Amino acid sequence: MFSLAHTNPTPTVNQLLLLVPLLPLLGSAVVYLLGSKAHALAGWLAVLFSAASFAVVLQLFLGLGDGVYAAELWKWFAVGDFSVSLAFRFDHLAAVMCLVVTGVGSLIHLYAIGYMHEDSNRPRFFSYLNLFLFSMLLLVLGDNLLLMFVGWEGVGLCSYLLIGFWFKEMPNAQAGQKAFVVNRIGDAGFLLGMFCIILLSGTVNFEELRSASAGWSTYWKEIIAGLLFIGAIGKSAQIPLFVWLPDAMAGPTPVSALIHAATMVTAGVYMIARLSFLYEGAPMVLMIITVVGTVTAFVAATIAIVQNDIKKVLAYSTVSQLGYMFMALGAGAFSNGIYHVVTHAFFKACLFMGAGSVIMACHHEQDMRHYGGLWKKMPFTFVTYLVATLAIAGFPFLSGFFSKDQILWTVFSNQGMPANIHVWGAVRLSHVCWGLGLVTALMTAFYMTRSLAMTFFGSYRGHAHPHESPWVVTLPLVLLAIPSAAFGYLYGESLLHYLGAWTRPDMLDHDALHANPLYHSLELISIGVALGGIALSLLFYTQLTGMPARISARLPNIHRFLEHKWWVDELYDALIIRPLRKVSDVLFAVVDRLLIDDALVNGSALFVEANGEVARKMQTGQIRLYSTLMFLGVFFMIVFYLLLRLVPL
Amino acid sequence: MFVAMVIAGILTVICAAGVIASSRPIHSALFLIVTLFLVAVHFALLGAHFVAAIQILVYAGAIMVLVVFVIMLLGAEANAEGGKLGSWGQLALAIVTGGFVAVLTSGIGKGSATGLAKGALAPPDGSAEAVSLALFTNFALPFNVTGMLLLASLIGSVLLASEARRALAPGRGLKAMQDRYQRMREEELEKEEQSVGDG
Amino acid sequence: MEFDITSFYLTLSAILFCMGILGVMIRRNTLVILMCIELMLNAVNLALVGLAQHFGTLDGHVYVFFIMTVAAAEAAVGLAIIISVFRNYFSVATGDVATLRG
Repeated sequence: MFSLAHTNPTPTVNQLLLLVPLLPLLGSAVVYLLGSKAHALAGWLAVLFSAASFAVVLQLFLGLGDGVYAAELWKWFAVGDFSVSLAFRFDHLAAVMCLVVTGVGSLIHLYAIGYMHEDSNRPRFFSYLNLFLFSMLLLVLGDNLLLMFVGWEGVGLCSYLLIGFWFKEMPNAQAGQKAFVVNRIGDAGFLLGMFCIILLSGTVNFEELRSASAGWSTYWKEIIAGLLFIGAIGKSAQIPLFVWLPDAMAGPTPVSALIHAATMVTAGVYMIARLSFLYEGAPMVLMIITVVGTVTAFVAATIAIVQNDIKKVLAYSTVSQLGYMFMALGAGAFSNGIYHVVTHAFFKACLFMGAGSVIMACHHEQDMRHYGGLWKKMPFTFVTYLVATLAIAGFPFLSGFFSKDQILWTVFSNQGMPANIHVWGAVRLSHVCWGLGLVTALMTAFYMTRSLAMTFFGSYRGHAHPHESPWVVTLPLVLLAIPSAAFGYLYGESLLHYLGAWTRPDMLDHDALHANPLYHSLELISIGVALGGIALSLLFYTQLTGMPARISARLPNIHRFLEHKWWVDELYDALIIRPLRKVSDVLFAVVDRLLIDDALVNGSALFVEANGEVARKMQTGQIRLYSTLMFLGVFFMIVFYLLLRLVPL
Repeated sequence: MFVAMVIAGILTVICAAGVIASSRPIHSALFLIVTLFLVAVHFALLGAHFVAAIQILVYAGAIMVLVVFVIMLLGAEANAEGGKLGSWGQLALAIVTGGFVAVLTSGIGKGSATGLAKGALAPPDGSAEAVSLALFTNFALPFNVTGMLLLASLIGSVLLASEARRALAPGRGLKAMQDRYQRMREEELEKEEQSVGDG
Repeated sequence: MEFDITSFYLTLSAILFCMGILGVMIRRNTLVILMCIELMLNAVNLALVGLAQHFGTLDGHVYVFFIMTVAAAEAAVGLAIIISVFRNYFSVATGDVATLRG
């Protein structure tokens, strides 16, 4: 296992760091309060605050060099030996994440001005968006696990608020609730992991954990890593907790772009990267992570092929790409996972915003079967969508190609997977995962090009009059398409070095990799797969337009299986939701009605009343009774005192 | 002397029984007067001559006279007895009271509070001279306070027992009150009958 | 067995006292109850004088004096109350004066 020397410079205090999360928080309040007066102002204020935060991040990044910035707000609490403070830490990993979050976030804020320009609830929307930025920055910048968890929950909350933004429609509200509840299941694992950490070492600070965790047994590391991974499964929509993400498309498109493509769902990846020192000592969990990631990528891609709603295609694509990121993490290439986070943020946000642009232009039509021929009417949207599609498909030299390829290679070469088991003969688990990843890449290329072709090529099949969107929409598209294309080529390697040399270096040595001839062969295979997928899809959806229908007619069962998302939602409904409902009904009838209402609440009142009725009988008003009772009382007192000495007088 | 004590004691108990068991209060009053007289006899036998005299003068002579006066004032109404307890209840109470007697007398003869043998000290001089000497010297303060207490009770009883002397508003005279009370009694009886009918 | 004066009078006092209590509990005529209370007081007086004789002090006599005085005052006031109650309820039976009940 290769490891680069880990340098840990002492952090320098930089109070400017505090502005980074606090500016969006302030913006959230200001936008809501001022924006309620002038709705048009709300969006611009929000953009202002998020852009300001980006500016600060940029300045910090440029001045960072090889050091680390730290800033503390105050000591949150201390219980015995255990203390937690509200402190932030800006190292290379945090820098990269913050740049992505604030940069892409600001662009999406700008885009949202255009997308939500008719909505009457804009102040609330932009307030929530800024609140989300704040929570995400807390998550990324926190220097201890508990503060990260606060941000974790905060983004979950904002996700719920934003998905169910148009809550007057029941399905939207339910989607928000589903997202939150499924997230919560993951959070239970996260909390348990955190509890174990506190139990073992009495601290949640990352730097302290780095040294403390060296002394833990592998058993404990596996357990904690596994529990925290469960949290990541929930937040980053892996199998089996991915069901909330497609439903989350009920929210406005800027929300999908920001939260469910670029930032929130990558929180799980970030968390594992942050705790890389822990995961490298938990090989079983790493293997599980790889397998989960691979399966998720594969399953999501299969579902995406048959989706007709453009946002759903992109949603499943997100789940699939997240699976790739986890594959990287499981292979020990933590910086590769983050690399893919960055490139994914660029092209997925661009894709979502492009889809939103199309949706807006076609009067909120989301079914791709009613699109077509839009390349003439919406040129900017078309070009940016094209670039982003090629990027995600893995077209050579675009950024998606570089990051995805790295991941496939690291999985194949299995250098970082000590628990790599033999599956069949010489074939090891990592080879299987690589194979599935390759197939998934083929499917990714296929369905993304499908969405491109159905939307922009051919002739228009809808009823609206689409035209290009205003500059507030197209400018962010362009600004995101450029790095989608060029980032990988220009900055990919330096990013990997930037991350790998400092945070906790990968278990891989990137330089040695590129010297390996096998690497280049696999690279060619990936290129072939990508181009093949693109070509096949173009063929099906521009020339042989009847072909897809004929294929699905030949394989109706498979088609239905995929269309119904592998029946996962139905499975959960039958296995979990229905029994839970039954249990709730029983509990309601028995515990709530009988026990609490009747026995305890009404019962206690009745008990008091009954006692009162009994006690009331003594107040007869008859003097004789009173005197009799007085005499009896005195009698017994004297008896007890004189004879039995029981009453101490 | 002891014979006198015992005979007087038996008589006292009989007359006390007469007090509590007589059906008419005037009989109870007369029995009580005899009982008080017998208690005075006991005082005299114990050598407390002054107290015996005071007993007859004050208790039997003043208090009981007052009681008899009130019985006279009430006239026939004084015989009201309304709803006796019932013989079982009376028996139970009598038994309990008997138990109480047993409890109270259980300590007699046992233990010595001050270590005195029976009859070791000479009985005191209970003459008027001795008692009044004690009253005006050792017990002067309680004596005067009791005087004030008597004054207070005098004023109080006069106020309580006298009819209001202010001009009677219509409906405040005795006849009006009697009528009102009659109506009240009737209403209550009706309500009782109704509730009995419901329940 | 020698006749013990003190024991005799204590016993007699206890019997009279309890008879008074019995009377208070059993009878419903207010006047009779008052008379039974007087009986109880006299029982106590008897005990006091008997014990004064036993201990050879005059304190018991003086206490009896005061008790009698207070009993007189109390009887006066009590009778005044009875008359007052009679004026309003036209009855001296305790069962009739039972409006203060729950």
